[in-house]
Amino acid sequence: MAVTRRRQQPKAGGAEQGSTGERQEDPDESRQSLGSKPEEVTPTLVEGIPPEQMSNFRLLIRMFEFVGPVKYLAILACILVALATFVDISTVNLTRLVINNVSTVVGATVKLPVSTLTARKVTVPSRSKPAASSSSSGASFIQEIQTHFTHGPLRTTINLIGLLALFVAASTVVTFFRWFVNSKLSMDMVFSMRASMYDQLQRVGFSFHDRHSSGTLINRSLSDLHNIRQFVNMALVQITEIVLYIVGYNILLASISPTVGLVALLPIPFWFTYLRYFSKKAQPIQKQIMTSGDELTMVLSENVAGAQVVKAFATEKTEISKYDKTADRLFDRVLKNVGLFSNFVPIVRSIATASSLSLFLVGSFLCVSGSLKVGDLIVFGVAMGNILGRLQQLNQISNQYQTSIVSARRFYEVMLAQPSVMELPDAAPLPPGSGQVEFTGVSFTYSGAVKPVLENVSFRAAGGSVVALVGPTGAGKSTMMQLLARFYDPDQGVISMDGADIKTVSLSSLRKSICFVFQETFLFSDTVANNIRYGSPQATDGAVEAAARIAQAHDFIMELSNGYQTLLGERGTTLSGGQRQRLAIARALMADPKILVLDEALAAIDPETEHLIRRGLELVLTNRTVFVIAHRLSTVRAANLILVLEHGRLTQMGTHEQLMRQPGHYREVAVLQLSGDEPSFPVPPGGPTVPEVAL
Amino acid sequence: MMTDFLRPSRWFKRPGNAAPRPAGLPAKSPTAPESEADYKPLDWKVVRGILEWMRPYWRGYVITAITGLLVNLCEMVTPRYMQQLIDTDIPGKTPNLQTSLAARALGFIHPAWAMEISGLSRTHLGYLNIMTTIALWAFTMAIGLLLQRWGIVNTSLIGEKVLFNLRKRVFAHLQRLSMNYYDKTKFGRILTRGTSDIDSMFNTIVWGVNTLLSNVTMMLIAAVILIFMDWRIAVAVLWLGPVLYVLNIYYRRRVGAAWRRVREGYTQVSSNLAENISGMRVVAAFNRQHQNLDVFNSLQLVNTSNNVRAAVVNGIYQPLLGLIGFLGKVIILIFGAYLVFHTAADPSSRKFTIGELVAMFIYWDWFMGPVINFGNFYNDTMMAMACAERVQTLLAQEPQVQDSSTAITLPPVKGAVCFEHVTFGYQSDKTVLKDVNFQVEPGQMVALVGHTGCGKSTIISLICRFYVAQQGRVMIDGYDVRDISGESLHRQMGIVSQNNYLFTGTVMDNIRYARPQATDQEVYDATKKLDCYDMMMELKDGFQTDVGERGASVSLGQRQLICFARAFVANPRILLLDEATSAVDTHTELLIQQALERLTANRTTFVVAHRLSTIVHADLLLVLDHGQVVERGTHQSLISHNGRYASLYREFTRDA
Repeated sequence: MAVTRRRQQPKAGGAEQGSTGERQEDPDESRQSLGSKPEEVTPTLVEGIPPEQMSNFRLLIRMFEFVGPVKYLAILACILVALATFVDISTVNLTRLVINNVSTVVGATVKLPVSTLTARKVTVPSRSKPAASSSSSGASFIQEIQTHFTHGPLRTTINLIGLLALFVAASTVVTFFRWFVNSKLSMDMVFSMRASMYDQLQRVGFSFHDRHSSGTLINRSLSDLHNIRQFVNMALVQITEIVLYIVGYNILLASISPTVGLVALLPIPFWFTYLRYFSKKAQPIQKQIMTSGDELTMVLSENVAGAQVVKAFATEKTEISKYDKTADRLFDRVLKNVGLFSNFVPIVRSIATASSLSLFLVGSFLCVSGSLKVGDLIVFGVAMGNILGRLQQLNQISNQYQTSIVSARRFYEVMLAQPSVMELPDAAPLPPGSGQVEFTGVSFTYSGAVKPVLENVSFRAAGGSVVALVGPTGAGKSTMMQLLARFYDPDQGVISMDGADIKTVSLSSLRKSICFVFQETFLFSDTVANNIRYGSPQATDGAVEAAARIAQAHDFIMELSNGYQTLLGERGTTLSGGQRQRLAIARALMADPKILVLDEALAAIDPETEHLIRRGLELVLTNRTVFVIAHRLSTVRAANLILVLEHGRLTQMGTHEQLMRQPGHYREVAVLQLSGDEPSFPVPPGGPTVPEVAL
Repeated sequence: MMTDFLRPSRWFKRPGNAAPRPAGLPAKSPTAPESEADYKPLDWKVVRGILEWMRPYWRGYVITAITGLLVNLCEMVTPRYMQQLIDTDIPGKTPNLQTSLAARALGFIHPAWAMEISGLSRTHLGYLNIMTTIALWAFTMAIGLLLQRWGIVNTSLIGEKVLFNLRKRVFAHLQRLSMNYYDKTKFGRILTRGTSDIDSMFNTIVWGVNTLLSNVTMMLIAAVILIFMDWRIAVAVLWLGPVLYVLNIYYRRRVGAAWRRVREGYTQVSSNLAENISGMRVVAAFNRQHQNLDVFNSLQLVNTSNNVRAAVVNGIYQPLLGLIGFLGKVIILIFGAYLVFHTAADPSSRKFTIGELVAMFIYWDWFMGPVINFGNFYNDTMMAMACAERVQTLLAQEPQVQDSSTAITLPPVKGAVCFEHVTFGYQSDKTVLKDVNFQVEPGQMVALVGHTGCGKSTIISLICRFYVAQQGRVMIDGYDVRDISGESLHRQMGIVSQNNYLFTGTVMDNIRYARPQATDQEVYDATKKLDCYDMMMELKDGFQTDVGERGASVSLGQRQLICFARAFVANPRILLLDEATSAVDTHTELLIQQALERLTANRTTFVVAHRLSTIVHADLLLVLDHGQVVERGTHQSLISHNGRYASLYREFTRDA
């Protein structure tokens, strides 16, 4: 009991993410809750069995595949664990031997009858009196020590203590290497796991990303991966440790006394049964607490995000009472949990105490009868504590197993999903050309959807022309453009660019030649300049500025705190929608594409600036094909070709003048809007005849 | 120590409020921590704040402390039982009657009489003694465990109450704060105040008093017992305590720095990943996959080396700390063994038994444990300090706009709105509105026209009293908005803004958000009047359709119409439409246009819009430029005036 040196076991891998060394001992529950429920997806798989049908066992096996590349480290880690266990148990054993040795001496010397004992009682000096002074003569004292040191029990004791020191030194070294190897093992493993996840997410294609929200995927790559990694590490290193400790201590106990060894086994079934029973009982409550906690966070987050609405409708009091009610529900559940634990802790400790005490009882009897020595008693406490403690860890691992299986299922759902767009093995780069685009009988349905988004679309756009796509929301305009860049492959039909079927060309050459400016502008947390040169990282500052000037972004960039070096994003400056769009345009220009796609790219920019941008673009975009998706008639009418899409079909095609002359969606919408405004609409002096029309 | 792994603090964890997950928030890793200070040194002001939160339950805390103390005492007796056992057993077949509990009990005054009185043999007396000791040990533990059980319930109850009160207080305070706070504080940060900041105080507020007290007493008692058992050995080992303490603090600092680096590195890894996933389309469009993977892996490499470095620091210090503990044991062992030998060789010397040696061993463990534990406690406290300070800063934040003490309830208004020399800026050095004057009659429709950033939305916000003007005043029906209560003002207003914010719940819940007492029929009528009844009925579950997190399960146009209906059910006197129709397709746009006429009838309406059709029908046009009203009048009069509006109009309608 006395001798074990309590030291923090290096926890494999828990290393990162925790805030402190201690904290990571907790298999952080919050991480679990981050994972969202697996949605219904039917990814196409490289392997036969989809992850949701995989048996737990298969998943378990698969989880260990990431150990492969680091197997030597893993073996080393296990060897170190074995060594540490051996050293640790030996330290306990040596302490026992020291005490035993001391006790033999005492046991041998004290052979005094009762009468002497009582007599001595009188002569014994007061307790506080130092031993040295009570010694009758200095000379005999030194002599006595010398005899003890040269031979006899004190000599043996000193030798044993020396050996003990040696073992402790060894354990120090082993512990150091354990920390090092464990951390390396875990980090190397997580490195390859993350890298392959990252790679997979980049390759898997848009249709996969359509089905999974980015939040879900982020959770998967962070928390699910963490769960799996932690479990694999636990399973490898910790289980080895646990088994070795339990076996080691049982052997030690049995070697001291078989009877005691047997008694030590008695509480194990009770112990384990109770732990399992408790886990089963605690889990639903913990889950409830988690749900309630999420609800509470949800109310808070909604109120923060919708603060304006709350204020505008003066519903503060309602919201407060809503929050309080949710908080009270969580509180009730927390209390239930407290009640559970308040029983659990004493019961668990009772079992442990009872087992230790029964060992002491048996041991002491054996001591008195002479078959054991007192040092052995010390081992009992330590051994019992270790055996039960390790079993409890085993229980934790089995809980972790449940979580990790869920995580593994989700993880492999991502990892085994087949990319929706594949490059041909002999894909050639896109041939040079002016950016001529041709769609022939293209049909496309999003996976999982019933209605096709595009049906039999055919058109041809000459290189260097401006093509406008109009039609109601959801008509398939954006989809068409995404097919052009092979973010998806059409179900039927052929798309060709400069005469080559885009399925036959390499993805990178195809995508390099097309640039997008999306309506929702995504900028990265980097400097303004780096965001602009995102597609062509080697671009000079001068080029960046030139692009920014064309996109009418230069002026506002110069007003930012650090100009082009201003950090954007979460920790940086926040830009308005219009400013973001202008940066996106600059970014697209910078990439110097053959084909530029403006997907409602100017919606958040006011008309005056839009006019300036368009004039700038006209200068730069000669010899480039431009596709414009827009609502504003002013943007659309200048196009060389206007494509009208309705419900996935190409219903009209032509120039503005042509389309205004024929009946159809284009004219209808224009006229509808015009007539709404016309009566009170005097033509301003020198002004145009067509007001802004939403198409 | 055998019981160490069973200490309650190790067991008692409650699943925290999961990391704040901003529902459907734009690209931001939910797990990526914020770049805020994690630790803060002890600060009396912050501590006083924490004590203030705990004060209503001080009686409970005192009881908790006493219970903890008693539990500790119970546990600290046990090494003495061990001593008793060993000393009984030690001389082989000759139990030491001197220290034997049973012998003392049987012999009443003198142990030597025990055998005579009981008539038991020496061995039997030994057995009896063992059983008595074990029974006493079990009894002490039983009391300790019962007390502990009670302590857990009591402590948790109080602590959780404090935490929940704090949560509620933070929420209520957030409701009081004005829009300017929400503008300048990032969403994630605000969320953190109400969630993880409070969760992080769990260890300190719930268990802090207990931990502190039990560790201090444990250490003190252990030290005192060591000294009383044998002061020479105690002197020989106790000096290691301060050494251990210093080393531990030093280690904490180093390991703390190492973990900080790990966290920073990890944040970079996770935010890079999160960003890449959210921006996948851009990544693919710009063909950056290979480069991004390289960047990601280089961040991972940094993360790996940070982790390994932290592990090395741990690998050096942890065994070192253990070594010091061990050094103490060796000293006790050598010194103790010598004393035992000495006693054996010279019975007349001061007696020292093996039992005492073992007991000192255990007490030494108990002396050392708290020193190490202090490290944890210290860490927790520093973290709680940082969090508590942030929460306290939030709670100390005064709302920029608040009801004055003499605020009156605004009676039902007609809807006259008047700006008198209003000057305003979100930051005091940057004015957004300069000396704005206008007068709006009840029932008029006012259109605000001008470029983005000219102050249109600001005027709307000032009418709502989301902010107050730095100069001049905003009057409603002759009442200065500063003199009336915010609630009574907002009850008579309706706003539809471009962000179309919906709350989780059904369509029905959302439409009657402003007036929960509205009947179903009223909601149906409202939607019928807005021509969107059929549209709502077409939803999956009609009006009972769940709109999802922030309305994610209904389309943009439907969301917009629900917002209109919400404003309509509120039946406001003053209606504010802030670019309410900017993001919808033609069909919905038309619906909304028609709805607008019904919605605005008989109400004072302010409109910020991009659509000419809306603007031209307005009773009054206010043309803004750089925060000033440069022109005002009807569409006709302004066109014929051929000034700023006319040129804006030309821009609007410019032919390409």
